[in-house]
Amino acid sequence: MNKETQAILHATMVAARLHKRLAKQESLFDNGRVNVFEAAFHLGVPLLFRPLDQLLGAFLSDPAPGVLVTTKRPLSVQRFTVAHELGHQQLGHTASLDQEGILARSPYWGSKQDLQELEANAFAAAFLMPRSLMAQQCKRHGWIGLQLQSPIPVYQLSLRLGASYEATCWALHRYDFLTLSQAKKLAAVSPKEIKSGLLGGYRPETFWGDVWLLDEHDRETKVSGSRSDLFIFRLPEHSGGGYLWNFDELAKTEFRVVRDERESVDDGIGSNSVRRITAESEDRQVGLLRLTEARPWQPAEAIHEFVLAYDLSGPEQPGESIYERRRLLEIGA
Amino acid sequence: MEDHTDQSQMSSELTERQALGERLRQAREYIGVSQEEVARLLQIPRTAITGMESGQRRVEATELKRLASIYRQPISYLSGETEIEKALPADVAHMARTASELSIDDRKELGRFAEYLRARGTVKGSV
Repeated sequence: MNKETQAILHATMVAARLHKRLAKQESLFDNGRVNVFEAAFHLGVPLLFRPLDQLLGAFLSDPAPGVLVTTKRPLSVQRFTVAHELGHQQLGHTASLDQEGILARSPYWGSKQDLQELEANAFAAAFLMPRSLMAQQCKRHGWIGLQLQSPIPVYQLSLRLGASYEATCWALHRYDFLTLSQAKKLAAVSPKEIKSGLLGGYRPETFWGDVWLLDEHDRETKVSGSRSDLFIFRLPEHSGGGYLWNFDELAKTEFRVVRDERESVDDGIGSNSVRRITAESEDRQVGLLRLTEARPWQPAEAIHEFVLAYDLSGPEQPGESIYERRRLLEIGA
Repeated sequence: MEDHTDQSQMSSELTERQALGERLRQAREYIGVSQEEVARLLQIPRTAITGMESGQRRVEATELKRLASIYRQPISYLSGETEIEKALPADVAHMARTASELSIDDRKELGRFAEYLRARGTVKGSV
C-alpha cells in the first residue's frame, strides 16, 4: 500500500470515529446532513468566518487551535472548508493556509500532493458525506440506478447533503454507485446548466442561488440553504376531483411565485396533473411552510398537506457561525 | 487651578472610556453579534450598549464581566490592562510569505484571528 492510500484510509477512519463520538449530539445528523459547524462547536474548536479574498480557510494550531473560513463563498464551500480545517485539527496537523486548490483536487487520485492536504481532504469528504447518510437520502427520494447517472437527481442529492455538486459526484463513485467514467461525465456538467434547466424560462438575477426541486419525498423535512435559493414545488394535483394546491400560503411567508405550471400526467384517467410552482424567497430566512390541496370552495377539507421547514440564512456571515450565535442568544452561554 | 485639574481628570477618564468602548465594539463586531442582541443578553436597553461603545456611558464591573464572557475575551484585554501580541505565529508567518497571491487584507485577517485565539486562550475554561 503506498503512502497516499494509507493517508486516505487513516483520514477516513478518523472521520468515522469522530462521527461515532459526536453521534451523542442529537442534532449532528439532523435533516439528513452533517452539521459541521455544530461539530466544530462540540469539539471546542473556535470557528470564525471573515471576508477572506484568496484564502478559503485556515487552520491555526499555535497559540491554540482555531479555524478561520471565508464569507465570500457559497455555503457548500464553507461547509467543505470547515470540514477540511477540522481534518487538519483532528489529524494533528500543523497550521495550514488553504486556497482554491483544495477544491480542485479530488482526494482519490493524482499522487503529487502534499500528504497533509490529501489527508485533510479525505477526512472532509468522509466526514461530510458518510455512506450511510448518502444511502439514506437516496432511499428517501427514490434515487436509484440509472437516476444517479443524471445530473438533476445528483444535484438535488448534493443540496440535501449540503455538499457541492462535484464533490457529490466523486462520493457516488467512491461508494460504487457510479463508475469513474460515469462520475467524470456527471462532474463535467456545470451546476449553472442544471439550475437553468430546472428553472425553464425563468431567469433569476444571478445563478448563485441553488434550485431546490421539492416533491412529496420532501414532505415534513427541513431544507437548509442560502438567501438566494429558489424552490420548485412539484406536487401531484387531483384536479379531476376539483382539488387544487393552494399556494397563497407562500405569499404569506414572503415567497414570491415566479412561475406556475401544470404538467399533465397520463394516469389512465386523464384527469390528474402535476402542479409545478417556482418561488423565490423575498425576505424571510427561517420558517415553516404549510401548503394544502383542497377544493377551492371547501378550503378546510384538505386531502393532502405539504409541510416544509426551511432555513435560508446561508452562507455564513462575518463572525461566529449562525449556530453558535443562535445558541448564545438562546442559552446566553 | 483646581477646576483645571478636575477638567483634565475628566477628559482623561473620557478618553479611557472611549478606548474601552472601541475595544468592546470591535470584540462584538468580530463575533458578529448586534448591539440589540447584546442588549437583550444583558437585559439593558440597546442605547446603553451604544453609550458604552461610544464612551458616553460608564461600563459597570458586572457588565464588563458579562461582555467578556459573551465575547470570549479576558476582561483585562477589553479593559486595556493587558496587551495581546498581534504578530502571526511563526509557522503561519512563514506560510503567509510563501503562499501565492495572499492579499494584505488576508494577512491582516490571519493576524487578527491569531490575536483573538491568544486572547481567548487566556479565558478560564476555554480551549
